[in-house]
Amino acid sequence: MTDALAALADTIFPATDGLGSASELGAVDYVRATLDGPRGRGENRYAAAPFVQPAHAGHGWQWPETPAQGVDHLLTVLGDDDLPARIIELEAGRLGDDMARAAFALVCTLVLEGVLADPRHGGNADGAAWRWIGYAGGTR
Amino acid sequence: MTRERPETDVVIVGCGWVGGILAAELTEAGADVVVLERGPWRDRADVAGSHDEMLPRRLTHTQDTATDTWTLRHDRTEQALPLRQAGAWTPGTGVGGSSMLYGGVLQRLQPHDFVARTALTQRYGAAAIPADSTLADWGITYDDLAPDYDRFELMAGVSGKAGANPFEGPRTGEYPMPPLPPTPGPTLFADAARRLGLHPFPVPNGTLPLPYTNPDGISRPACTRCGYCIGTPCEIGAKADALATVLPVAFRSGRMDLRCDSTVVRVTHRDGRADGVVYRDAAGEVHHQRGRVVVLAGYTFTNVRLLLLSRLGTPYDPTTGSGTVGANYSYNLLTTGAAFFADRRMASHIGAGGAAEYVADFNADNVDHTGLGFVGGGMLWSAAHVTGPIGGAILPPGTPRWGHEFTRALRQWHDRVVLGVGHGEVLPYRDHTIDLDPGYRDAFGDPLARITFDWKPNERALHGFLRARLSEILHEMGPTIVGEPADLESHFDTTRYQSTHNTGGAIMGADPATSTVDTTMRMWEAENVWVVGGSAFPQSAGTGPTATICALAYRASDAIRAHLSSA
Ligand SMILES: Cc1cc2nc3c(=O)[nH]c(=O)nc-3n(C[C@H](O)[C@H](O)[C@H](O)COP(=O)(O)OP(=O)(O)OC[C@H]3O[C@@H](n4cnc5c(N)ncnc54)[C@H](O)[C@@H]3O)c2cc1C
Ligand code: SF4
Repeated sequence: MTDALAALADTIFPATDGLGSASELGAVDYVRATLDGPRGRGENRYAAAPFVQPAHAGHGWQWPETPAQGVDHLLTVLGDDDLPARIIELEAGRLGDDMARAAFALVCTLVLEGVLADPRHGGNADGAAWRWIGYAGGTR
Repeated sequence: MTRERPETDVVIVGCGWVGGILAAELTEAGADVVVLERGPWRDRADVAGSHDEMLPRRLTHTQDTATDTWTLRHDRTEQALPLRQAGAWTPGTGVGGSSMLYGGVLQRLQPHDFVARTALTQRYGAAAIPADSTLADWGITYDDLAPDYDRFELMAGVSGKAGANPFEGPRTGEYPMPPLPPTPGPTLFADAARRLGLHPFPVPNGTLPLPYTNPDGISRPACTRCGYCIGTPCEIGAKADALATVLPVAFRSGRMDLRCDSTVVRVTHRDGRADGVVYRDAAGEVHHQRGRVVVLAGYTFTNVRLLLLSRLGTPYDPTTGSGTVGANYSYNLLTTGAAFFADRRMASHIGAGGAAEYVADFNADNVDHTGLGFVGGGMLWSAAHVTGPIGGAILPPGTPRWGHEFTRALRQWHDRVVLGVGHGEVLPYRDHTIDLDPGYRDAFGDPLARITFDWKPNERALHGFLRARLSEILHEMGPTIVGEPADLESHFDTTRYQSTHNTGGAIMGADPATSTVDTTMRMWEAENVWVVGGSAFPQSAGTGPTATICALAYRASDAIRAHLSSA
């Protein structure tokens, strides 16, 4: 699973115009640590049954799976062949299911955090992504 | 086993803005007060280093939804489902409550808002108000509350400019502090609004442009414009919160006993009098704290839920219209658009949540609604708080969220975007309620609060109107690209943050048949219980609620003081 996650993260955030990819920036380590940690385990989520699938949108994540389990499901759905084409299919609703789509949105968010959050969180190695986008702020 | 605790004068449930104000006012008046707060103790040192975008994203200061959350259904026929995580709203937990996390905007309501039903009926006829709306006057007017707004503003050092908003209610003098220094994005927004004939103004807020010492002798430093305001405590106390302002006053009195990690689960009462509350401490031990007066100050949801769990007051029945507890639940609607400037940087790492330019021209009943097809209004604004690179990763419409087109857009548009926001009122309706969920329970086994809420035609029409006006301003700014504000979702979305402006459920009024509390926030059905907060609002308004919530807390404190000295 480890490599599949890195491949997905690097597809979401490929090396671009002088900036490394998600894995090169340490963002994959961040994503993995987050998924292995309380957020991935869903420790801040209300986890009581019953889990009911809503009739329409607006209710958010209502699956019994934790976010980390949802991402595992996503990786299975995507497989490891021609990721960009598979993601397009997923986003168009022709591949996978709603949980896979929600997990993809989550991975996109986590990759963005891994790339752009303060380096103290383990990604954005040396603040390279901040310099690259031209972020004029910093920590202190 | 329940441990009995000796009687005190006043038991306050919750240590946020309201709990803090009441603790300060009542201890200063000589009362002994026990404040029970479900979350942890945190002082200013604990928030040092809060210059971190991940802090609000991790919701560490937000109500722990693993143990207590809300269920929501979009109408009375649907099964309510739990918000498995805080999303649309994020009320705080721990000392200071949401006051630690809010953006700091502290606007008064307009005089119209307090008498909206009467005023709208006079101007447009009763038929203009949707038949299923329970819109109600407050039982007090703006003028009644104005002295309490004054007290709050002086205490908090609210910054602003009198008269800059031509629609604001009369005030006795200038704001205690001048406006915050301008920032590039909001200035572009205000200039465009002015060219369109509108009246932008720097919004009143609790962030200090200069050092300030309030009448209690409490000093706070000026804002450094670090921008880490929203969802994050200010590490220097420049943003007015309970910990920086009122709690020091209560502490120094020696009369406040603040107990953290103490979750109140019931109000105990008999024959129209409460004798105290039951709470659980961190170890799970159950205590009964007696008090001559009980104040619920636990934010809208806790206030209403505790009444229902404690069988205090008469629950509202939307089918018959009888009872009041849980009625008139309301919220705010939100629309967001963006102006992208290819060649212009906005210095968006500098600012503060309160550093915003607002437009009130479409608020309340400031425009003639004849023929518009809705009642109510809202604010348009632009604020300088898109600071961090993650939150600021706002990309032009149609940009993919992965791949090279995405990564290049991140770089191209970083710090070149100005957000515009529309924020509108939501009418209360007969079937928009808070009650107890029949199935889902919290960590202690008590039913969760269940919310019934969705967007109705009046709100969709108002949203469309605000969206169009916002779009006009964004275009007038002359950007390279406008990110048009989106339409409302087909159903209320519990996951997208909109606001922590939940109101109603224990509303105030002049008539016990239609309100839970009187105009001092004392329960009609319990002579020594005050329910204070947004729960008392008969309806939401186009402005944020907090200045009004805090003014109501001052109003309640006078009544409680009078009650204590007469009893
Ligand atoms: C991110 C964010 C931004 C906001 N921005 C603005 C803004 O710019 N302008 C504006 O007008 N408003 C804003 N608000 C809303 C504002 O914070 C609230 O209106 C205000 O804090 C309400 O005060 P309160 O005392 O009623 O509740 P709170 O300040 O939330 O305090 C309630 C306290 O009660 C405690 N509590 C709850 N239940 C229990 C229980 N059972 N037992 C013991 N303790 C309990 C809570 O932990 C909390 O500490 C914002 C809110 C958030 C979260
Ligand atoms: S911008 Fe100002 S008020 Fe906001 S957190 Fe920073 S110093 Fe505090």
